[in-house]
Parts: sequence; C-alpha cells; structure tokens
Amino acid sequence: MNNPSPLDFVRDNTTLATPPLLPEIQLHLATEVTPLWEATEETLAEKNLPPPYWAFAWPGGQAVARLMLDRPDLVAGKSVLDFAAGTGVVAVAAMMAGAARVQACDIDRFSLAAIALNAKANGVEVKAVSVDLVGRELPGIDVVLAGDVCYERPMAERVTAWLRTVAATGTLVLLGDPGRAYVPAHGLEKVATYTVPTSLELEDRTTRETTIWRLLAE
Amino acid sequence: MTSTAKPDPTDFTDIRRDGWIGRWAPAPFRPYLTLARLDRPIGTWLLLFPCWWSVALAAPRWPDLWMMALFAIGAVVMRGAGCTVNDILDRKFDAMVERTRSRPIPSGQVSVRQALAFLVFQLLLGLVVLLQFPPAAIGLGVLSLALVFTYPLMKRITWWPQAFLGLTFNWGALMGWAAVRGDLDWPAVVMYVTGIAWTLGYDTIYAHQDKEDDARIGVKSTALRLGDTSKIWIYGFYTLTYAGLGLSGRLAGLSGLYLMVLSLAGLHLAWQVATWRPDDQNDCLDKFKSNRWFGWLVLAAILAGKL
Repeated sequence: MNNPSPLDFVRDNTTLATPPLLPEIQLHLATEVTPLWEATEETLAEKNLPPPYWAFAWPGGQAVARLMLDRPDLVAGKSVLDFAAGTGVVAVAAMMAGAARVQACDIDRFSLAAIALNAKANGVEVKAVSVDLVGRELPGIDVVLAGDVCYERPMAERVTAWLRTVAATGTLVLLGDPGRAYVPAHGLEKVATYTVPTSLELEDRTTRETTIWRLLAE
Repeated sequence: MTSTAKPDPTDFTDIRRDGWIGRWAPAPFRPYLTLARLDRPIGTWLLLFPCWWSVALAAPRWPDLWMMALFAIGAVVMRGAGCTVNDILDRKFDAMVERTRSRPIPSGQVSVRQALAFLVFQLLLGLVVLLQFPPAAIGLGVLSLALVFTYPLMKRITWWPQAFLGLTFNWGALMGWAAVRGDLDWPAVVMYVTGIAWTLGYDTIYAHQDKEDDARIGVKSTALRLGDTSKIWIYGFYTLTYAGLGLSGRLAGLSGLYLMVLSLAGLHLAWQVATWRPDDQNDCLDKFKSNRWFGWLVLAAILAGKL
C-alpha cells in the first residue's frame, strides 16, 4: 500500500483516544511526532511538509472545546467556524453543543481527513474545507473559534489582525491559548480558564493554564 | 480584564537573543554558532575537564600548554558536532515544541544539508587536532566517534541513558593520558570509570529540571526517575567520584598534597548535594553548572600533587 487515501492514512497512523479535558469526545490521535511526520512525507513523496499538528489535541483547542460543552449557549443554533482546526476537536464540540452548522478549516491536507474521521467518531457532521481564509470576509458566520494559533510570530500576527476585522463586524471571536508567546497583549477579554493536562514532551510541563479570550475589534 | 501578562521570553524558547551570539556575531554565522551551542559552554567544560585532568596526571611534571590547548579546541568542536547531530536527528520533534521551535534547523535558518556541511567542517577540525597526537591517542579518538554518534540514538533506547552519556563524556580521561604517554595505564582507566560516576551525579541533578534547557547534554527529563531518593543516589555517585579520583592520583604517584587539595573538591561536591533544592528549576541548573568549579579544583589538586 504505497499511496493510501488520506482517510486510510489517518486511520492507520493514529488511535482513537480521549483527550484529558474532554471525556465526552474521542479523537484520532498520534502518540509520537517523528514517525508520523516521516510517514506523511513518505506517503506524499515530499520533503519539508508542515508538522502534523492535526494528530495532537493541543491545549488551546481542548480548552475551547471544553467551553463549548460547558457553555452551549455560546454557539447553540449558530453558524460556527473552527479556524485552523487541526483535529477538528473544537468543531466537534460546537456541534455537540447544538450549533446549527459548523465549518472547520485548515490548510493541512491530512487535517481534512482527520476532521472527517473525528466528526464521524463522535456522530456529528462537520463541513471541512482546506482553504486559507485569512483576509477574507466571513458572511453568515456568527462565531469564530480558534485554538492555539499564537505559537509562531508571523502566523499569530497575520491571524489576529484579520480576526480583529472579523470581530469588528459583530462576530464573536474566541481564542484558546495556553500561554503562547505571540498572544496579543491587549484587546482581549477573558472568558474562561481551564487547567489542561499536557505531555511533558510537547509542553515542557504536565499541565497548562489555558485561557479562552474573546478577541476584541481593538 | 482586558490584557494578558506576557510570559517571560525565556519561558518559551531556549534560544537566547540577548546572548553574545545575538549581539556580537555576524548575522550569517549566528545560526551555526547556535547550532554548536557556543553560547552554552557548560557542556564543553564537562567534556574538557576529564581531558585536562588526564593530561596533567600523565605529564612528567607540568602539563604541556600546547597539549591543553589542543584538547580545548577538540572539546569545543566535538561537543559542537554532537549538538549538531542531535539537532539534525531531533528536528521534527523540535518543530512541534514551543521551546525548541526557534532552533536553527526547525525554524528554517539552516537547512539539513547546511547543518550536515557544518558538521563535516567541525569533524575535520577535530581530525586536525587529533592528528597532532601520538598513534594510541589517535586510535582512541577514532573509537570515540562510535560513542559520539550513537549517543543521540542511545538516549532513546537505553534504560539508563546517563550511564551511556558518562561513557561518552569521560572518554577524554583515556585520551589525555594516551596523548602524553602514548599508551594506557591504570590511573587513566580508574579516572575514566570515576568520571562516569561524576556524570551520573551531575546529570541526575540536571534531569530534575522539567526543561531540557541549557547544556543540552542530558536526556529527556523523565528518563531518570530516582524520585525522592535522588539525593542519596547522588551522594553515592559523588562519593565514588571522590574516592576514585583519589585512587587515580595515588596510582599515578601524586604526592599527599594532591589529596589535601582534592578534599576541597570533595567538599564542593558535598556542598552541591547538601544545598541542592530538587524542586527549584534554577537551583538545579546552577548546581549542575557549578561542576565547572569542581573541574578546576580537581585540576588544581593534580598540579599541587606534582609539587
């Protein structure tokens, strides 16, 4: 099997597991970074692929998903976008919380397959799209959710500048952040905080205090 | 609340922008100097001292300064080579971790090919240094490559990677002697085995940080789980270190003055363990780094033993 479909690839290289903060949800997750990454490069016969973020339940995303399950009123009946979705855990939680519809977007090719499988594993429907939405208008979206998007300066600056313009149109924008370096220093309103159990290997500590911020227009 | 406290910049990356490399080195060289960890010299000191001790021990009277300088250069380039190999092998993992994401390879400042070229350059420098030595030392140097290159792999496999680290980091105790005398003898062998106990001690202190921060000579911090008994273990390792160095010097015919000065080095080790606070990250790093002073004290003891 030299060239499996993305769905098969995700299934073959992950196991169904429950993220620590979300006993209600099951996700296709990997346990080790390097073998998975090498497998993606081998499958696509390409070097210098981006890291397989879609196979890990990052603390920012877990916290936003937890908030959805704890405060379904935030998204119930609404049209929701899970931005830079990765596993799609936030989209899954938003659907479980009663959102009218949820779109998940991520620029990673395997992420789409992971989102589809994770939605199915939890019996919900999520529309996954592989486009870079940054800079675009989001007509018809009531709520934008983003977990852990401020770990790199160029991406964090680009994304938060755009999301502020989205917030300016009256859309609710929530960011889940475990204390990453490039979270904006102002124009944020704290919504909730969770202590997310993490792996020492990926996060250097066994828990991360993770805050969900409402991003303000300015 | 409308703002968030910015984390201390040193919390999220192990690259120092305010270090001497960032301030003084020409921009094109910076990623390479960082790759070789030239801004974090403790790993080099720990590699170098067994060489210097052994050179001093083997010397007829005073150690040859040229020989000492050769080992210093060799320690810098070989430690740099080890770090480069490590960063090449770990590049994928490093890219996913906030602390290591801005290292030269995962951040794209240096390609894998460039890193390999830099590795070859360092190894060639090491070879030039090695070829200044007599055949026995050259043979030992070639043999050490097997350890240097398997260490980054062994740290993932072996149950007690610190022991393997000790085998690697103290090789200089054999090489120093061979470089001076052209052969191997018991004082050097005893010093080598002793050095492994020293490494087990300091690396256990190092492993108590949850960040694999400064020297990057250690292993994944969860590797060594001696738990609450760590202090007792380290007392044990350090006692062996003290006794072994004493034996090595006596076998080499050093005078009683050696043991007197060596007892200061022993006191330093006792101070390290007695005042060590395992739960304090900074203290772990400070105590680990203080082994540099232990290195100087032992060297002073050997020189005193020649008086």
